Amino acid sequence: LRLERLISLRSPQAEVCLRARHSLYIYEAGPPSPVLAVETTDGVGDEKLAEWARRVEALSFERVGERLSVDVVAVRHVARRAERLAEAVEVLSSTTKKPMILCSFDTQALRLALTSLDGHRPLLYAATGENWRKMANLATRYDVPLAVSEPDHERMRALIRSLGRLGVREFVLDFGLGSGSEDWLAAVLRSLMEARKASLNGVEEFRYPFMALVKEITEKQTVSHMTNALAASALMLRYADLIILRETQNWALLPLLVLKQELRSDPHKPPKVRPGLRRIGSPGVDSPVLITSNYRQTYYIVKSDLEDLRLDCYLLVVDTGGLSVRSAVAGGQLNPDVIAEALRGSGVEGLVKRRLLILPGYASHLKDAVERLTGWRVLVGPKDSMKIGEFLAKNLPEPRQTPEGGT
Amino acid sequence: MENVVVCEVVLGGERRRRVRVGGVCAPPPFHVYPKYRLNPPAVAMDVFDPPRLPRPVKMFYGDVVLDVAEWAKVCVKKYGADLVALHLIGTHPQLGGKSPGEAAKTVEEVLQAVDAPLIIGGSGDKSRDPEVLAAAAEVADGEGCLLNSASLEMNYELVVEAAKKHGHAVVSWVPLSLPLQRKLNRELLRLGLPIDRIVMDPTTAPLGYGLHYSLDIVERIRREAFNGDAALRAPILSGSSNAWGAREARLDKPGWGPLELRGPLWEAVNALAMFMAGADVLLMMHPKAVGLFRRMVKQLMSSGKTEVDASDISGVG
Repeated sequence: LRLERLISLRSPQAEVCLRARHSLYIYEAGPPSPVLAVETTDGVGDEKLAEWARRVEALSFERVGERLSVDVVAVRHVARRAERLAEAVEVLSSTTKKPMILCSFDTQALRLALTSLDGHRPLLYAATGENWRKMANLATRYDVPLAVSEPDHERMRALIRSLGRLGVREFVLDFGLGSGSEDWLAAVLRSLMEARKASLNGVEEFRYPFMALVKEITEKQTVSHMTNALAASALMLRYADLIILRETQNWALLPLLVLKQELRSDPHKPPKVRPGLRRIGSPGVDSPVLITSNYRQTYYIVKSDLEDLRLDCYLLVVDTGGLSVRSAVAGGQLNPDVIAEALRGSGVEGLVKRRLLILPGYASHLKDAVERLTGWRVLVGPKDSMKIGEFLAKNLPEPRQTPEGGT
Repeated sequence: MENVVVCEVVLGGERRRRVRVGGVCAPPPFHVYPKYRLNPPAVAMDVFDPPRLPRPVKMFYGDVVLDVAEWAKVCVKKYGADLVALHLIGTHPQLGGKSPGEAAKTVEEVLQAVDAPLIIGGSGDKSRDPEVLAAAAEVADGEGCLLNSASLEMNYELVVEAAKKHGHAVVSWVPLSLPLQRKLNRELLRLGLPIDRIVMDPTTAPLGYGLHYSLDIVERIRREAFNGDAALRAPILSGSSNAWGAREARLDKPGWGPLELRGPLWEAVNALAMFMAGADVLLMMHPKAVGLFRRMVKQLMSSGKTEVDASDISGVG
């Protein structure tokens, strides 16, 4: 059974694809690509809406050369006037570049919004047992994908079949329960697992991407931010391909965005990079030599930090068996002998006069032994390469051979 | 309960609270449900001698970390730790170089202070750890500890001997590799350590620093166990406190938000993800993260209306 076509949501500037998973194990059929949406309502004024959208647009974190951000914005129709959704959507489309999800059971409000959205391909949320005929009509007329919301699996299958007969081809399935009961998370997760298992076992109607809404839990706000982020993490792991949450706190979104990045990464790419010497910028005879591990994640983070700082230096990537600095120090793979050996083997001794080695902070206790073995001057750098700029500014008082003359 | 494929390892003993870990009857994703596991995931809280902690954790605990036995007591009494993970990092030559005998005294103090079973860890110094763990095993005779760890590049025979002689279990630690995990487990079994005295740690990379490798390996280990690989039928341990290795958990940067919330959340996400992938024992550090993790596990394991059915899933995909 072929699981899905990609379901594409578009704005004039961006495209986001929803993709159903092909296995119950996370990476068995290639990395999953969950999509994250945040939700607002049309129940607030234009000003507030624009402010919210600008905040969402600004929410982005640079990580290993990638920009992490929320993929989609969802707007829920709660206003009394049907036209309000179209107005809200217009405000949003002029303040954010992200594709949209239009959330309402009111087909009149949705129709007005769809008419006003030029160059967009939003997701409609959602068809139910009540409104499915009208929703099918909208989805086919405007050629947009349709979310279907129904907790009961048999009824969901029947709905998909009926909608299919009316010509709808692109579905996103929501098994969420209407009420925010105590065990909503367990119930939704179970439902997603069962449905994904069913689709892999041949249930045609479930071959589409799944979605989940993270419900508000009413309690102390900071706790609620945290539990919502954890619930979203769980749903991202099993098996929501689209998650809508109301969260816009940076600190609570950050782990979700990073988890999304982790899930999209391919674990079959070996965690090691080639050990050896790398030039960062244009190093000269006075440039320091920085030590790091050959763990892929560490290497790319350190490299991008150094490049961001526009430093000129040598980066000596030591073979730690693909372990991070911290693990390799704990496990003994990063030790004075290995460092001395790597230094000799790299040929950097012929490239610099200054002989200044900077150890990662986690390897601080190796300093004396490395000095003894190599005869180089050894400084213990910060634990995190994010702080290397400050560190060098403070600890390398002599003029350095960089165009900036010291960061 | 159906067929128990992942063994149950019993820690503790006659003089000490018994904690059972593992005992799992279904592969991921179904292993999270009570129907498919004999025991909930166990939380082991880290204590270090001497204390070396990320700033947010240090700030939260305050001075209690200066006395490792008191610290352990707080973990058990106040924060409800199922297990205490004692890390004898002071035995490292560069961190004070405590002798195995001195380290054993520390183990005794912690054993006296708490009734929870201990996970006893060395410093990561391959040449010293076997002796340190052997000495610790001896003073903890009959207390059902988990020795952390045996690894391929050390004299693991010594660790296994000590475990067999004094009634402990052993962590089989490998750096992110399924073949190596299989190899080391086979070695431990060959030396006469039964499979129900082995707990595997295939390494937990922090969220943002390669967690995907760990999620994948844990799932593949489970899959192999359920496909009949007898050497992999041990419970899995995750060092989820490794999450603090991530800068996002530990450092301040404009736009990242308050560290005292961000750090514990980071660790809790890490632990939850590892549990959902298949880990049975979670090593954790921040009490707030422990609280959050427990709360989510309770939600996940709560009796929902939908029955979960893990049948017909082998060979899917």
